[in-house]
Amino acid sequence: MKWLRAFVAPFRGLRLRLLLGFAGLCVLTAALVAGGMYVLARREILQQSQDASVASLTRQIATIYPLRTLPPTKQSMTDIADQLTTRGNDVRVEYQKMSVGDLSGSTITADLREVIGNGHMAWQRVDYDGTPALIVGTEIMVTEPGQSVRPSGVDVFAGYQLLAEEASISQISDIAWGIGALALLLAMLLGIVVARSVLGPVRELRTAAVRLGAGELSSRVPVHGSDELAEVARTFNNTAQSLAEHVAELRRMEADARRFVADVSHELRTPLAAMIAVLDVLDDQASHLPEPTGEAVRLVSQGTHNLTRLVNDLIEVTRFDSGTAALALDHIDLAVAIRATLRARGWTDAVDTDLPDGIMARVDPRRLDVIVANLVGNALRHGAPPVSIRLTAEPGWRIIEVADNGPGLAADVLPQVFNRFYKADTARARSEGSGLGLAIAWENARLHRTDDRVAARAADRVGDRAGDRAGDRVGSLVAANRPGGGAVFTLRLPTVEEPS
Amino acid sequence: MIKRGVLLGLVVLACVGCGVRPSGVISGLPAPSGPVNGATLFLIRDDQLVPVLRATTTPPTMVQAVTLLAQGPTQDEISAALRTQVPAGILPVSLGNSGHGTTLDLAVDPNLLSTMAINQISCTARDAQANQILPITTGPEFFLAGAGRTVGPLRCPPTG
Repeated sequence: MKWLRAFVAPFRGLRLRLLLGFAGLCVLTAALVAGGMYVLARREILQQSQDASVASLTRQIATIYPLRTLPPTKQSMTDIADQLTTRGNDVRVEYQKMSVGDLSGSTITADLREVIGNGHMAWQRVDYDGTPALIVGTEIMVTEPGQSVRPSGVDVFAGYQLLAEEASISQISDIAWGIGALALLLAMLLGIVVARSVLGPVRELRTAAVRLGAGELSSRVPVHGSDELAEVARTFNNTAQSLAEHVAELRRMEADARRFVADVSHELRTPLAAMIAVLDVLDDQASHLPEPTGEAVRLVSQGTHNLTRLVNDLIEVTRFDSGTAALALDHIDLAVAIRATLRARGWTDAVDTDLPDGIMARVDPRRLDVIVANLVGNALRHGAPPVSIRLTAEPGWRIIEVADNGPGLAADVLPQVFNRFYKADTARARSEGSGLGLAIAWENARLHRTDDRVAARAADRVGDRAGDRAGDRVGSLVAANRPGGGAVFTLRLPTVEEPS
Repeated sequence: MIKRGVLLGLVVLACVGCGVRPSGVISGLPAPSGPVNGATLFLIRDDQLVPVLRATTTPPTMVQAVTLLAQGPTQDEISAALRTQVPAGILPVSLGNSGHGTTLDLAVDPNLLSTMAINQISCTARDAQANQILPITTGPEFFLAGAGRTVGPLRCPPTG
């Protein structure tokens, strides 16, 4: 079975079906036509041969009349046999239990004798010592002077070999097989040609569809002729055209929306800066202002600071979207950087740390600070203590895990936690966060990537061949729930191992 | 559908086969017949009348044929299990006329002959009758006469 499968492998599908169809049709047609012709020709050949043999025997029998002695003596039977014998036949003359002649009695069937006994000439093809032979038999009748015909009791049989006829028939069948094989070959060739003419456009269509699926919206198919396949190709082109237009329209709309957000954010920054300046002054005075004016000033100040943070986050996000966010890489000790972040936010006592010194990496310190501050801040705000942060190193990777012991993230929240403005607790609409923190952290993680071709060259220089050379490695931020409860955010940053 | 067609073709091929196959018995024209040259005498085998052809130089008359019959079977005929019940004592025979038909005059009373012997004589005489022209007065009936007695009219029974 395996070799068969290997054989038909290039002919799978439509091509195989077309080939089989053509071959089957050809075989069927050839079998019916050639078989029919063969049967007819064979019948005709045998018919003529039999008629000739019967006519010959009838002529020979006419020469034995008039009969002189009945019942025949051995001698008269031998005389009859000699008269009937011609080139190419064997003769047998029987009278009751007597028989003369060189044709074996075993070739004469009981059926033949029965028909002859009814007063008719009869013949039958038999197998005579492995060769086909025709046995013609008849009883010799005598016509009395009074014109009455009566049987003489003498039966004669003549056997004719059918070797020449068999050779002719065999030649016909050889020719039929040859023509059939030739026709089959031609049918297969025709099948291959037709399959190619059908499969070529189909292959073009498939290639174009694959390219379209991969995002190449300009992918089109050449349209040949005006058959059904051309119609399909035309439909495909129209669909691709319409799809490209729609996608372009959507992209334009999205770009417009982003530009609008960016513009709005920038426009808001200037008045906000002025408001902050004014509010700083007012904040200093707030303690001296009478209530409730002082409370109002503090609320306005708080709100303005939140708005400023939101606008800053929005501007950061628009930088990611427009691709203008750039890394400012530095070779730093991660434990030192993380401790600095915690200390700056006053979280040093609130977080359990596992930060071994000496784990170096090339990262953007500002973006690392943003990520760590966001993760730890989230854990402190939404999770339950103790919040822990752990730093580990793998070859090529630096891993920072922030975990808490809260209820963890619900199953429907988990896949959306990095979406912009996604808030797990809708009742907590007036959150201090902008709703962009995790999205910005995620983008910052992804911004860290290594060009391993550069890394590999660097490694080659020092004889270190370790490392994945498949392509760029990209940083990731993943949210999950710990088995023991509580959420854990894992930040993985790729790094090039610096020669020590 | 196609499968069924192919199957049908194969079955047809298998049934027809290749080469020259044995056939059934094919029946043709009636068996050929031809004239005889000799005297047809009726002898007895297993209580059945059997026509026997005896070579003669000329087609025999009725009297000649019955005379040959009365002379008995030849050695060949005896070895072929042929017998006769016609005694040689009926000789000489001659053609007579009873007024109703052909009459053969025997030397003995025909009533003394067995039924089989009378059948032998009447069949032999009937076949020989065709070889000769009979007097116009002769009727279609056939009689045997002898010693003043007449038997008949006689008919040749169907022979086997």
